[in-house]
Amino acid sequence: MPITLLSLDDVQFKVDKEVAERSILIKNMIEDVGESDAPIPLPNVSSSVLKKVIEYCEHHRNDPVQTQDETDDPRKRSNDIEEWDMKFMMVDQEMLFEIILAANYLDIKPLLDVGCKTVANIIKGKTPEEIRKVFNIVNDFTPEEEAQIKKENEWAEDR
Amino acid sequence: MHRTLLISEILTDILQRLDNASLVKVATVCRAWSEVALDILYHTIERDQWTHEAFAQHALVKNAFRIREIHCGLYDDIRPFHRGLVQPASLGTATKSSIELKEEVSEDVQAPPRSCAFSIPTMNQLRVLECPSISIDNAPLIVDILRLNPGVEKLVLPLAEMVSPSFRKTRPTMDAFLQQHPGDDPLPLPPGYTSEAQEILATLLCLVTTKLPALRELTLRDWRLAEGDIQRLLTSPTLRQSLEALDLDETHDGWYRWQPQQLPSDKRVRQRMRQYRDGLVALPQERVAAVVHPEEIPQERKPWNKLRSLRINGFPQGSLTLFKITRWCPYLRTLVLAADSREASLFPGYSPASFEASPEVSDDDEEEGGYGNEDDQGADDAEAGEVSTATHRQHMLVSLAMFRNTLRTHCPNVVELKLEQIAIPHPKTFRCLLEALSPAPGPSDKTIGAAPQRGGLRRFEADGNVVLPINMVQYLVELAAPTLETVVLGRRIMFFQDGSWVRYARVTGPGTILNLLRSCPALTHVEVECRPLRIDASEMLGLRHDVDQEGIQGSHHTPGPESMGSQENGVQSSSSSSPLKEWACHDTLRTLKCNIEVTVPNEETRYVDLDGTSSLMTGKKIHNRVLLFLNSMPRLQYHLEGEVDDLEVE
Repeated sequence: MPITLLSLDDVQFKVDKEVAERSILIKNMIEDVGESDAPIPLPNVSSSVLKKVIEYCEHHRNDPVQTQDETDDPRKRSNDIEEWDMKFMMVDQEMLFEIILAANYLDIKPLLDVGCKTVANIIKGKTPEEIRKVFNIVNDFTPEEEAQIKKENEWAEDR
Repeated sequence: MHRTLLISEILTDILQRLDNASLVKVATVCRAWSEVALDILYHTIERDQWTHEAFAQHALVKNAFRIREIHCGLYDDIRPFHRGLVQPASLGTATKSSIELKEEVSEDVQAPPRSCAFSIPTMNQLRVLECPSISIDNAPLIVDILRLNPGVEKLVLPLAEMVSPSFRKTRPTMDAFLQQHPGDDPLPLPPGYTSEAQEILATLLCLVTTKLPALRELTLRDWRLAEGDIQRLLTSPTLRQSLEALDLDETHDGWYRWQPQQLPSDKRVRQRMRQYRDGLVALPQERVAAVVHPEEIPQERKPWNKLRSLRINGFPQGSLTLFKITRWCPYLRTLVLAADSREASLFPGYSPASFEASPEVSDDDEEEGGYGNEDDQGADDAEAGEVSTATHRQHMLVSLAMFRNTLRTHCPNVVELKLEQIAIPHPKTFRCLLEALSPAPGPSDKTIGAAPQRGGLRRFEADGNVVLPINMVQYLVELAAPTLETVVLGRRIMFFQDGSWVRYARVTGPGTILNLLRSCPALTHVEVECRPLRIDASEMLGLRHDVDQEGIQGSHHTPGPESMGSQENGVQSSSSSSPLKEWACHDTLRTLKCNIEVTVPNEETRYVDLDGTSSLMTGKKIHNRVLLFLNSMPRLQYHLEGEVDDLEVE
């Protein structure tokens, strides 16, 4: 049975239930409310972003459901993005962050992971100044503070 | 900055994927990012980071509060180091310079980590302290860390060879050491050493048993715990209320080594235990009283209702410990059994190296039964080890019989069994072990609390230098079929039959998995990695040879020795269905993980498909269908090996 999703700008998308249920948020809503023809409102996601999210879910509709990380390992990998996902994430920065926000809101962990990996890959290899420029960040450190942090943590740069 | 990067959860998720060098750069981007980056950077301190000068001088004092995990490289296990000394050839070069280098490393290992000591007062949020191994000389530092971090939840403290400063002064030169101790003997200890070790162990053990109320996982290996120490562990009210996983062993060093002709009576066991207690590191009461207030030393035993996982190293030598502890853990769920290296070596031919070597078996070997080459050397070893095998079997049987009764009576909730570095090669002993975890009538009135009747084994796992009887699956099916949910047979397993090693056994073939699936209705997860599953491609796809056309084509395909049509472990598979399809159609199976080696016929052969159509197929065509077939089964996690990888997809 198809599910209707209603975006922020009142655009309706009809998708298969198994595609919609890639989102844990929607899955829980369906389980709580029961199946109905009424559209599911997604007031935090615009139609352009929702279209991309649905495209991702359609492509990964048969993937096993990814559960939450069981380990407390604070380090994760960023170099294991599938080719299709990498192409999917080749969008402008605004869209990339909107997809991450939508994945976070809709609770689609694999999509959130891919988004975070993509941003992490953008950061890698850049100097602090380049990072600020790319993400439009204001430097609120004094030069002394910046030097101090660098000095304190130079052990990590050697590893 | 985009609003997404202001959400700390998302920012953390992004920065967790960066390496240390990138994190340092990110830490200087802006204040908001700096905090998140430094929290990640200092969360875990790895073994080689302690020694960095900049880390100690600049970083640790300011950021120690961020540290959650420490992996101590300075306390490296120096026993392998000493073993390495007597085997210089295996380390590469046996030159004088390499020995001198190791001597320096040795000094470093024994020296207290001065660089970190001054920052300890600021390190008070530690949750995990994991040391590969601690020497006595470094134990005071561990004591200090634990005193300042009562919130530690996981503590891993294997004890290295005890080397004291007094011994260090009298240590012979490395050359002399090599000449004096050519074998793998333990390091000789000087007189006066024991009392020093006793003090420090007493302090550490008392801290562990009384001052860490949040401790959930505790690993104490090679501590040579004596009767009094075990008593202290068992009566610790702090541990009883918090501990969920316990991993410990007894290293008996020759104590309690049973001989076939000298099976001990209970009286004899008690006598030996007293000797052991008096002779090894029993903690002196006066020292205990100095650390812990006498009123804090409990006298009463109560059950450990929170303990769910227990790992015993040194099984069955450590079985007395096991018996003692299991009597007080009515809700134990997971049991891990591992022999110490000495016990494992009782079994002839057992050594970690024998698991490393896995030469490819030839077709000839398979036709002879799939067993390892029994060359002259192997045969000699088997004969030489005959007495030792008998000892091993009897030793195991006695221990396991006692263990079975204890476990049935006191631990009805154990449903997961894991075997590591242990040789249980004889069918009777293996069966005895499974019986201990199988539903069986037994006295329940002695059980502590109102523990229910045993439910049956749900998870069986064996990996890491394990020897099992060749018919182990039959016993699993017989004794645990109704409840078994997970079976994991890792890479490092060998099988034993009629005095011979089995390097490639049919016991892990496709038919065995089929047998498990047909017999165990609750099975959800199967991993078989100890050998590739050799499957004939046509059998996999459910193709039959077109007998009517065979004469015309002149090509006859002989199914492989392990094809599904063969009798294997009492299972006769259907020739008209694919074994993989049958696996995939199992009602409860969710994951099947295995290595698959698909045999594809080289010649064109005429096959009858499942729908009855007859066609001439090439190896390439069959290969493509194999790939499509495998990809159509989402439950199957497979790794293809062998010739099929070399073929091209059409």
